Amino acid sequence: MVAQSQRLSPTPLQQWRQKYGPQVLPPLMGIAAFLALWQAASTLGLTRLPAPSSLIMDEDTRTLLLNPFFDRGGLDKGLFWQTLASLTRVAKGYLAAAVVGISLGILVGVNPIIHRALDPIFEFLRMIAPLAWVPITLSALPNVQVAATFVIFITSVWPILINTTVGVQQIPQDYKNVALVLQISPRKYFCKILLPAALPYIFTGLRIAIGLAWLAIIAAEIVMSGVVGIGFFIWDAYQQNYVSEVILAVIYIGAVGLILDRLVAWVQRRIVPEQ
Amino acid sequence: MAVLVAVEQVTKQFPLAGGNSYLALQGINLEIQRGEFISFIGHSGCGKSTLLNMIAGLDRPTQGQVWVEGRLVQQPGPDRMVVFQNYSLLPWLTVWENIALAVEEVLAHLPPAQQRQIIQQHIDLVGLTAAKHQLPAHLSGGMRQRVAIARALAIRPQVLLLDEPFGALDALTRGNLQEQLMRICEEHRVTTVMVTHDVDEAVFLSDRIVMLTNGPGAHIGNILTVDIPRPRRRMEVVKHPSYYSLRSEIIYFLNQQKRIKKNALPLGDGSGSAWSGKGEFGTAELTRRQ
Repeated sequence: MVAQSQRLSPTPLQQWRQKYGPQVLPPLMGIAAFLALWQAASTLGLTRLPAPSSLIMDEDTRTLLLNPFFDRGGLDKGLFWQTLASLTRVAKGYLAAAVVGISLGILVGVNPIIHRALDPIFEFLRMIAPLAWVPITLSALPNVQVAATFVIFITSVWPILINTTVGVQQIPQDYKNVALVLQISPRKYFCKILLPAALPYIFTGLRIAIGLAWLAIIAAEIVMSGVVGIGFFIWDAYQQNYVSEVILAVIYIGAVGLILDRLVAWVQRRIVPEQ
Repeated sequence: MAVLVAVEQVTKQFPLAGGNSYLALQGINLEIQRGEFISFIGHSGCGKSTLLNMIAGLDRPTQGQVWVEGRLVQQPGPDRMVVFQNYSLLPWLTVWENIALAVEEVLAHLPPAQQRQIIQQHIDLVGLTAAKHQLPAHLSGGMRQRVAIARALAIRPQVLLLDEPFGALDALTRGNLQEQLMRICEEHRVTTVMVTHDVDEAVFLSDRIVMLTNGPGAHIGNILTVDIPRPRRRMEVVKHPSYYSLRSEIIYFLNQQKRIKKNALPLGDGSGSAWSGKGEFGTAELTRRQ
C-alpha cells in the first residue's frame, strides 16, 4: 500500500531526478571520477602535480579561492580583478576585431577583385599563432597594454573577416535578382538583404573569435609580464612554484571561456533571424 | 492591340570553360501584345528561362534586342517584375514586409498611407490576410508563391514575368493557383509571360503558346493561338473542342523535339553545324503541319 501511494505521488526530489537525472547525473559522475583519479595519482606520487584537494588545503590558495576581491595594490590582486583586467583587454581587442573584421569582410565579399588581391595575405596572416605575434607587436608598439590588445585583435580578426566574406559571397542569386529587378537602393540592399543574409556567418565567426581571443590573452600576458591579468598571474605563480594557484587560475580561465562562448551563442540566438 | 514587348533577332551565346561557347538561342523574333498571356514551352535546357531573363533584363542578348514599350531593355527594372520558381522571398521578412520592401522602393512617389493600402489590397487579393505577419518559413509552398505573385503585382509592372511559377507545387495547389492567377490577370489586364513545361497549364492560361525547339541554337518552332474564350473555367476549358487538339499538338511537338535530340546525340559532340541542321529539320516539319 505504502509503496503504491509513493509510486502514485513521487516526492519533488524524485520528480526532479526523473526529469533532469539523465542530463545532470552523467556529467557530474564524470567530473567526480576525473577528480578522484587525479587525487589518487597525486596522493600515490605518480605526478608532482598537487592534488585537487590542495585548492582548499593549501593556505595561500584557499585565500585566493575564498576571497577573489582583495586588492593590495600593484599586481597583488584577487582573481576577480585579475580576470576582469584580462577581460577588459579581450573586450577591447575583440571589439576592434569585430568592427574591422565585419566591415572589411563585407568589402572583400562584395568586391571579387579586392577579394583576389587580399585573400592570399589573409590566408597567410591567419596561420600565424598568437604567440608569434607577441615579439613583432612588442617591437612595433612599445606600450605593453596596447600591444596586448593588439595581439587579441590580430588573433581574433581572421575568423570574423573570413566568415563575413563567405557570408556575403554566398548570398543567393535569387535575392540579388530581386534587388536588381526592384532597383533597390544600395543602402536598403545593405540593411534588408546583405546584412541579414550574412548574419549567421558573421556570428559563426564571432563565436570562433571569442574563443581564440580568450586563448590569446593568456598567451599574450604570459609573455608580456608585469601586467595585472590572469595570464600573467599564472606565470607569476609558476615562477614562485605555487602550482595549486596555477590550477585555481586555470579553472577560472576555463570557466570564463565557457561563459564567453555561451554569451555570444545567446546573443546569436537573439539577433540572427530565424530562417 | 499595341505591341508591348518586342523581341528582335535575339541570339544568346554562353561562354564555356574551354574557351568555346554554347549557342543557347538563335534568331528569336516575337511580339507580345498588351494584355496578352504568353507561355514559353519546351524541354528543359532549351533556353526558355534565358529568354525570359532577357526580357527581364537580368541577362543580355549576344545579338539582337528586346524592346518593352518602345524602350530598349538594358537592365532589370520594376516595370518587368519577375516571379521566380523558388519564390525568392526574403526569409527574415514577414509577408507584409516582403511586399512592403518592393512597394516602398518602386512606388516611393505615393504617400505612405496609399502604399500601405496597396500592400493590404494585394495581400487580400491572394487570400493571405490571416498570414500577413508570418515569416515565409511558416508558409506552405503555395502560400509562398502567392506572396511572390502579390509582391510582383503590387508594384504594377508593365509585364509580369513568371519563371515556372508552379513547378515546385503539388498538383492540387498548382490547379488552385493557376485559377487565381488567371482571375487576377483577366481582371487587371496584366500582360504576362510564363515559362512552363506543363502542357495543360500552358493551354489553360495562355492566349498564345510559344514552342521552343531544343538547343543548342533553340528557336521558336511554332506559336499556337489558344482560341478558348475568356473568362475560362477549368471544366469548360477541358470540354472545349480546341482543347485536345491544342494539347496533342504541343505534345506532338515536344515528342518530336525529344526524338530529334536522341537521333542527334551520336553525332552531337563537336561542330555546331550538325546541331543547327537538326534544328532546321524540326522547323520544316512544323511548318508543314501548320
